[in-house]
Amino acid sequence: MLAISSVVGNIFSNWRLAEKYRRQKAAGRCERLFVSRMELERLRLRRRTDGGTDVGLVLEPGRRLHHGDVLAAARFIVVEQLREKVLSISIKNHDAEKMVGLAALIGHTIGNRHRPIAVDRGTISFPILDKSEVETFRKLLPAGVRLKLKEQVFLPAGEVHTHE
Amino acid sequence: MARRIPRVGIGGPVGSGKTRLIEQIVPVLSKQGYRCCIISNDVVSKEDAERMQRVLATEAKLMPEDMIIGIATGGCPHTAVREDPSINLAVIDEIEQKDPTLDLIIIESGGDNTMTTFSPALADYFIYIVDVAGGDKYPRKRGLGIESCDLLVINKIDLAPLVGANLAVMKRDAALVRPGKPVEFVNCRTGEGVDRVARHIIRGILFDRPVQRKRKG
Repeated sequence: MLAISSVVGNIFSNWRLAEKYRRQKAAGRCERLFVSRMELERLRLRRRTDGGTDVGLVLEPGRRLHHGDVLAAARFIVVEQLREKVLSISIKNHDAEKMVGLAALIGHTIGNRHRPIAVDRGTISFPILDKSEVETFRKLLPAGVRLKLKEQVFLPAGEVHTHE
Repeated sequence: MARRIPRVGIGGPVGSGKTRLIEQIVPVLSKQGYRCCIISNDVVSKEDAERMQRVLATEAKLMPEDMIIGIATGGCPHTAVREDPSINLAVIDEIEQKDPTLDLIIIESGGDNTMTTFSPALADYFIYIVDVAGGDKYPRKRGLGIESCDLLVINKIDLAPLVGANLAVMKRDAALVRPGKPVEFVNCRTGEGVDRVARHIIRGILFDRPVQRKRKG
């Protein structure tokens, strides 16, 4: 097992690492450690990379992994967050009074399901477990909102935006 | 700052065998030298914690009684391990101050059907347990608990023929809804399969670490 206890940086915020990532990837020397969104918050994790390296990760309290992190190891190992089903709700063309009610209703509906959210202008996104949930939200939310299902890396509000 | 002790969460519906699984796992881990502490979450009762104190501390003498702690959450126990684990984190803080040489903290919590999960701030590894008496449809019913757990344990396999549950169907469905993740079939009454569950814990969270103790004096 390769014991790792820290991260050297992130390929989406450190251009030197991004460059190194491109070179290592092109040379076939980059390994990916696939981790789910929830597992990114773990301080202790044992997982195999796609290159077969058995990684045992132990981070200090207060730390956490992010999509694109490069692990402090002799090998070039990048953390890759798993894609998941994400439902986006778009609100458009409403007056301020309607918007407040609509936003409250959407927030209440998503919040009751304990889902994290991401907000980008008039679009609210959150992860769902299965496409069967789309129908539920269609029934719960009023007409006039647009629902769109995508499979993507989900970054909750407050997370640094990264490229995919 | 006290050493952070690795933590495993065990969740599942009421009656699925969470407490019995712990009662079977602790002796296996103890035999290999690992020392554990147990936190048992329940709504108002501390019955499970008291039972484990009797079985594991008083009778088997595998651990001190005060290393098995019952928490009456007052609300849905899954909330105390998922949305707001502060009470569990406070208890863990006390444990880590009291005995930082422990190898593992086991956190038990029931409730919330198949949606039980543990906050990553609370547990480093998550075992979800169901039993065959709920029907062989359980794995394919999915839900966050079944899908996201590190290890799915299916208990009471001896009852399968009596309740018409097909273990092969459960195995097939578990592989479909959680590709690449393990599932173990056990009988916590007899101990069948428990060694394999303990092996997952030793590998997945204890990193196969050999037990090292400082000599006293």
